Amino acid sequence: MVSVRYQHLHKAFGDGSVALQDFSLEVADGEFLTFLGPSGCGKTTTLRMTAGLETPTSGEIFFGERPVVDLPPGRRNIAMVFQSYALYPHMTVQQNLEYPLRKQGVARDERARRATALAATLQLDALLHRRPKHLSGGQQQRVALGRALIREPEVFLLDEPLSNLDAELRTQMRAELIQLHRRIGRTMIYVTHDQVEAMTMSTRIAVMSKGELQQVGTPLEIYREPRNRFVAAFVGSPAMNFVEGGIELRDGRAVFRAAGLEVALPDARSARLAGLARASGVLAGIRPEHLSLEPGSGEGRVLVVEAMGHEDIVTAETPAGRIVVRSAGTATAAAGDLVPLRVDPEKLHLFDAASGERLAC
Amino acid sequence: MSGRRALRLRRRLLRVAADLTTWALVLAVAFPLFWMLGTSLKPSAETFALPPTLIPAHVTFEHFRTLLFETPFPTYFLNSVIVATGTTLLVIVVSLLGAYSVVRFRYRGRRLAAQMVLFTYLLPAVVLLLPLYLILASLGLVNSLLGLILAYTTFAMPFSLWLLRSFILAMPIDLEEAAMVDGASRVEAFLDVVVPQALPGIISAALFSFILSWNEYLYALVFNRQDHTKTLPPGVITMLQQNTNTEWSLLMAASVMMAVPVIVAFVFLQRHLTSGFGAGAVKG
Repeated sequence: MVSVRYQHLHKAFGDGSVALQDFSLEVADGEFLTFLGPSGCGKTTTLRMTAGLETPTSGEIFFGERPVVDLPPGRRNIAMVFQSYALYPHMTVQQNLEYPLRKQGVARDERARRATALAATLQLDALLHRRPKHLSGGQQQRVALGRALIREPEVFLLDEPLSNLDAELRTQMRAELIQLHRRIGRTMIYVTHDQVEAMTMSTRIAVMSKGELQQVGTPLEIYREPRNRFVAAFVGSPAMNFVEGGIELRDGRAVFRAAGLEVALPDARSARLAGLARASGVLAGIRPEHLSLEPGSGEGRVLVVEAMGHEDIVTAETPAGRIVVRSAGTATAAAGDLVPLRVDPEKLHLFDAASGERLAC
Repeated sequence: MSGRRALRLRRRLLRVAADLTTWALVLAVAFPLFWMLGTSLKPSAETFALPPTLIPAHVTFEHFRTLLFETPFPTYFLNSVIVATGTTLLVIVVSLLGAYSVVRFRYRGRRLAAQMVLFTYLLPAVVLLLPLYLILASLGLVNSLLGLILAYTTFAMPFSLWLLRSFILAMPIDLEEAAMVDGASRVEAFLDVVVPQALPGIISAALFSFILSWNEYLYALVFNRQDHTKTLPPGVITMLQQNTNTEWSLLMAASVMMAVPVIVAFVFLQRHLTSGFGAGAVKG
């Protein structure tokens, strides 16, 4: 059982492109940490460096107190589940499961015993003698997990393991992975671009963009207090609305103002915002779920209504731009309607428009 | 209704025609082989009998006995086995490692190296005869089986390298990486994962190399002048064709025995051969 510590990790490729810049992070022992970000953000490169499949240009990685950068993958005591599953096509399920043990020099009987026992817990017992290509996607996924589990590694690395599954199976495997992590309690590092996976499974999420760590925190911290515009926009579905405007003080109270939109901020935040008042250069982030079709902040013309059954996703055109609202209920609006809009002032996120950084409030 | 029946009839006729054409082709191709087999089993007197007999009137194994016990044929045969097997092994080892290197490692000139290897195919074999002879002579490898193995390797290697290259290209790198994470060294990952998957390609390349070196005549004739290092093609010809007199019966018996190893290899490996030539072209 170990923690994983990244210290000023830097990776540049031969063509000059920088995959990762000054990346420092500690993954606690037994934690389920997710690298979340769009493709090309450096999350897979970081995972591959953790595995030893990629060498950092500079910086160090520690498993516990042990530096591992110079160790080959096989000597790091890790297991990795690949996006493609990477099952050995010429081996049966049993041989696939036994392979890591074979490389450790475990005796044949012992190997077979452990593979059979593991296959039973993964519901693969009937498939032990099949080749991977004769398995369904979900079964292949479980074999890949089994091959990672069998050697009882200190660190699990999972590279978008669910992205090749259909939606239903993905939901099911998500739950299985959560249970698995709870049961074995090992450190797991998970890479995904799917915010739902990140939100539902992780102890903490590390949001990455363009080779830089944007924010690390629990799923709720990431959702409630995104540190910058990128994190705010990337996490949440439908995505956060952004409106550019200014903050003015009115009767000692801070008010966010944009074209056709006004949100008076609550007292507690007002005090802290007083020093930040300015006519422009403020970006307000409003999650669709923190808007309602009630009078209070402004109004907009409905463009599209997507009925989800229990709620409507309403897209409205306002003087400040397009705004998406999650409106609880059914038939809450129709295209062409002029609807009132109310922003929950407690949930308004404010960023500096130029830097994208969260304003201290 | 009758239109459909006519269509079906036409389809059936077409298939019969196609079958007949195929069999005609097979017969045309196989006829010399039957003739060879027939002649090898006839007494010499019957060889030029008129009218000719395809199936021998009297079957005799006399020619085979003569070849095996009264000529250097067994020596030639053994030499051919050594040279063809040696070439095949060397070609497979070199081209498999080479193909892996060209696909998986990044280094200056790896593309150029792979392309230059193909360049040898642009030259007729005769052009390379003299340079290769001089190289082998300076190495003291003329009149040796090793020299012939090295010479044949230079011919069989390019094809083999490119065939295996396409196999390895189609192999996802994830598999080797998974093996390395699972505790294998790079070499073990290569042996455990790459080699088994490249097996159809390896078999195709091996058959190609084996047949090429088994049948090669010109180089063997020029390089190895001494009886104890001669291989079958030049050995048999020089032994049985003196002045204008050709020992047809013995020649045919020798040909039958030369064809046996190749036919056996094909029968066992045919399935892999076709999949080998097809794969790589189409990914997956």
